Amino acid sequence: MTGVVDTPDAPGAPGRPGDDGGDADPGVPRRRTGMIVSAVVALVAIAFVVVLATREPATERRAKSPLIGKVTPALVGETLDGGSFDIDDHRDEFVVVNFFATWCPPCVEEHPELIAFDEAHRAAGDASVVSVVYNDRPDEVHDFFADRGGDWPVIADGGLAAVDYGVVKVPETYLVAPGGVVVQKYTGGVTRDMIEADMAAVTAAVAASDEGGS
Amino acid sequence: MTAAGAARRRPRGLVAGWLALVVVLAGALAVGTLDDGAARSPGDRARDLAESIACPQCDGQSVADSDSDAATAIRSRIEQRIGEGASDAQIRDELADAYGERVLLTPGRSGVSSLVWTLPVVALIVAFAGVVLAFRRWRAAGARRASDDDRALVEQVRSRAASGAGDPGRGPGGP
Amino acid sequence: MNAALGTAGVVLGVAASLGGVVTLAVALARGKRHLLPIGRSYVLLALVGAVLAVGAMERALITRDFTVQYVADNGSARTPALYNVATLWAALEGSLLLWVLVLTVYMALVVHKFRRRLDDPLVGWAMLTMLVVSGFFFLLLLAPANPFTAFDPPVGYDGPGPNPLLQNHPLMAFHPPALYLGYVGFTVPFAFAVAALATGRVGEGWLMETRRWTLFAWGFLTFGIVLGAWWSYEVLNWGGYWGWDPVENASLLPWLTGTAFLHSVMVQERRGMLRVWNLSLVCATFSLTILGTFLTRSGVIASVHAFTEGSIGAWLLTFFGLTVAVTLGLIGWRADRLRAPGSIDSPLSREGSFLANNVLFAGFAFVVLLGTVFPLLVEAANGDQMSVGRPYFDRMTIPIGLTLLFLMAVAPVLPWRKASGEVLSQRLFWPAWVGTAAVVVAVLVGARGLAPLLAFGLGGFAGGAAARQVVLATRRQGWRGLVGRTNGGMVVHMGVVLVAVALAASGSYDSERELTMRVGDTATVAGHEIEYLGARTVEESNKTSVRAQVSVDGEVHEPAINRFPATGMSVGTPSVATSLTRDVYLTLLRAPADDAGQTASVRVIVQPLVTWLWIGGGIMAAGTVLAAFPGRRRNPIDPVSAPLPEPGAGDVAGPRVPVAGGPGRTGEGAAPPGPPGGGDGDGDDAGDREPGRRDGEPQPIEVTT
Repeated sequence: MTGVVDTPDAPGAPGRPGDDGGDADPGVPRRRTGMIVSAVVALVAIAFVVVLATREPATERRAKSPLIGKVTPALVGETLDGGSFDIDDHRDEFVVVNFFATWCPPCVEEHPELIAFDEAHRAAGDASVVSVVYNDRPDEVHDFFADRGGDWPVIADGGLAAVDYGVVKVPETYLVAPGGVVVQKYTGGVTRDMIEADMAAVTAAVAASDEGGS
Repeated sequence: MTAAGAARRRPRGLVAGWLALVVVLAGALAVGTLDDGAARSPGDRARDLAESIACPQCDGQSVADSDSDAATAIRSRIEQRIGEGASDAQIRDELADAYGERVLLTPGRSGVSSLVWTLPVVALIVAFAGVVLAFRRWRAAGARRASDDDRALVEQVRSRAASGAGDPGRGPGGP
Repeated sequence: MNAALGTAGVVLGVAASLGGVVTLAVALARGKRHLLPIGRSYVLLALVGAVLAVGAMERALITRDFTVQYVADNGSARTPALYNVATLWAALEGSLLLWVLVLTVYMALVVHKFRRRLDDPLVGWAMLTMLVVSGFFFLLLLAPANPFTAFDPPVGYDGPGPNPLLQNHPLMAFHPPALYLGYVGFTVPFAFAVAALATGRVGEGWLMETRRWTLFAWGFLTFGIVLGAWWSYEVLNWGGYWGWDPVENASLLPWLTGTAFLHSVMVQERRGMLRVWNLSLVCATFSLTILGTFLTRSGVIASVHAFTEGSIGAWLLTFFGLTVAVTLGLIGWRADRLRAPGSIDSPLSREGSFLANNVLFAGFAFVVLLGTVFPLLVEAANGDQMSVGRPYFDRMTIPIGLTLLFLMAVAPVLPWRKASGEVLSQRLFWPAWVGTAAVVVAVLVGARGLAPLLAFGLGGFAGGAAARQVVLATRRQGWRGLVGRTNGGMVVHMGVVLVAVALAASGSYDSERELTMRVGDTATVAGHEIEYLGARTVEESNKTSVRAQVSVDGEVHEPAINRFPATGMSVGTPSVATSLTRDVYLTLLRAPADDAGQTASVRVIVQPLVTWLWIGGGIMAAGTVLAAFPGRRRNPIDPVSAPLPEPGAGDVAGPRVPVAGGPGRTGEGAAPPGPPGGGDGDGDDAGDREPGRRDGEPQPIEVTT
């Protein structure tokens, strides 16, 4: 096998076309071309590897809601107890918009935290809570609130508001600042402390900018 | 199959045969494409839109392919918005506002993301240009053998190239 | 016990691989050829190590030995036997075990095949390369993905079992091994390519050595991909078979470059050209298998099929970078030797069409790679998060696919060197009519739209061309007209045509409806009568399944929702009413438990010709096997640059007697009509040996200028 076939530069057949004169001095310029092409491809490959190497795992990359810093989507609807709710009526306070379902364990877990938060701030009048039912039956939700407490508007709109907010997986909770700007998104269970910390931060920032402005 | 006779007869029959083929094919394609008929139903639109939106809850499936809660919710939102007369682009924008650009499976045509559309086209054009160049060189090489004058010229260029720019490169290995 | 045995196997594998690498490197560096055959012992030791490790893991799985972490994480006493065995490849660590087993088996086969030439530096370098690869994968099993770490199971412990999706269909037992046989198989041609570069023997020798290996790897990869699509269709409950998911793309990428290589290799064998290109393709194919492994196992890309993440990503990425760097360096270093003599005279020739084929396949691979990693690139560039999905891939790849179909029709009838329009118009006449007939039939049965009609027409065209070649070959050679690379290749082409037609039809003419039905309700979807008959619940060892009984045109099907108590996951399982012309795909959307099965929500998807995909895939696999059989022999040992026969000598047409013996034997005595060195049964034979040519037409191919 070896001898014949592997002689790489075996001259072509007599009269074979294609040796464009390079045979006189084989190698040198060709080698340089090869090197240049290899180097270019290598640079691209290195850049590619570096990009891949510096990526976070996909699971860490989700989350960040594009809504943060923007005006809250409309949230209007009939509540379970027959009343109506419009988030625009609550422009003067923080609104905690909680998406939940009774079949979701973390939703059950976070419920007492929401109750505690609601009780504390309803009295103060600086924040209110609204829950939006996500893929659940009204009677189940009714029983849920009857069993576990909680007395705030609950909207069941068939999941449309959830799409406006970009809810991926319940529970998700959004904190809307006075004036109607979304300031935070919590995925998974939320605690009273988490919400209050963010409220405090927003209040402080507003105060600071007011001072700076005046 | 015998023979010279067949070979001589063939061309005329062949031409007629190809002509007939062109006529039949053009007719069939005309019927098949012009008679496309009814405009897209809202259901088709919803389905197409859903196929172009990534299910935010799942990995790598479109909203149309997933039965997850988020996908179901987005599907019904799309149907509702179509019912309200929203355009496809409007609906897509609204979803991107809520979930982020990440849910759009069709990359945008402007900015950095447009590169994903243009790069392959550029690459294909470059590759074909390379092939065309290679053919021209081969043809030129086939037409004449290198003479001594050619070699002298090559030497000259080389010595110039050695001090200056690189070799332009050639051959099939290129692209 | 199992853990110790398995760890011993992995350690043996690492030691044998590294020992072999060192020994061979020293022997090659010092030019001590007599030392090279020692490499065989190392390869066999590595194989023993892999067999030991896999055996220990299977034993642990079968005996439910939960002291092994992998079994504790992925095994369960409730898993049925078949899936329990298949649990080996149900998670990251086990799948790497399968990888090293397949790799070492390939290595042992290579060593056996070349047992008389082990002192050849070419074989030595190939062995060295393969041992580097196996050493790397054994190291993965030792450090970042050790399957044999210990676990202390509490009394009465039972594992969760494999992911429910992976214990829901028997195809799971076959798809990954087939895929790995393909994926890993490309290591062999890669090793020989590296060996060719390292030894400087960059001619056609290494190609000849690895031709059949490449073919087998490609065949298994094809088979594995088709099985994967089938599995996806039967299990994932969404009615599709290909989602342009990153993991699917990762398997498609080496397939594309491998397919390009299978074609361009013929140009090099025949004409001695495209050497750099072929080496690059082989190296790219191997690198892409590593890159694909990285993408699917590092967690950087979200995918339905991805394994969970781990530190293994950095290892794989490093290995990918090294592979690319080394091969690029080698090719750059050998660039002077890789300069090929010869030229392609006309774009309208066999080699010209292979060139176009390669540009298109490379472009296809570029599109798929770019689309897969583009979101990562954009995020790195400006922090934006974006996605690239089906609409992009469809729009970009459909034109490429259609062009490839066209090439598939024209290329097989093109002679080497140069074709005349007259020859073409004769040879393409009937294939073109087949394509036209396909369009007419499609229009008559109601198909509309340009892209699918073009797919049918070009598919018919390509199928006609392939059938013509096979018919001519069998008429001339009898059953031998079906074997050999060209004829087998034409059979593969016919399988590709079926797949293409199936893709176009099922993608363009599907209809879908969601039905909520009470018992006894009926509905009609795309002409099919659907009736809901009721529901039942079936308890199995590993799952509880709620099955809705739905009659499709009188035939009862049971789409189900399965609950796996071990993980708490619910997985829908579709039921498909299959026929040759259309599939009715039923999925149960919600378990009808709450009102005792009185109502059920069922999605019905009707798609035409889906079955053709699986048939086409089978034909492709069968064609690959046929192509691997020795066809009629040319003499592959002759250098391609040997003097060509006198013009006219080739007119001695007529069946040639196959020459006994494997490739590499001295060949036919009588002057072969084609340029020698073409390998077995090259494609032009069927076309060239036509009546027209006997009539004394000037032969375009053999003319030397």
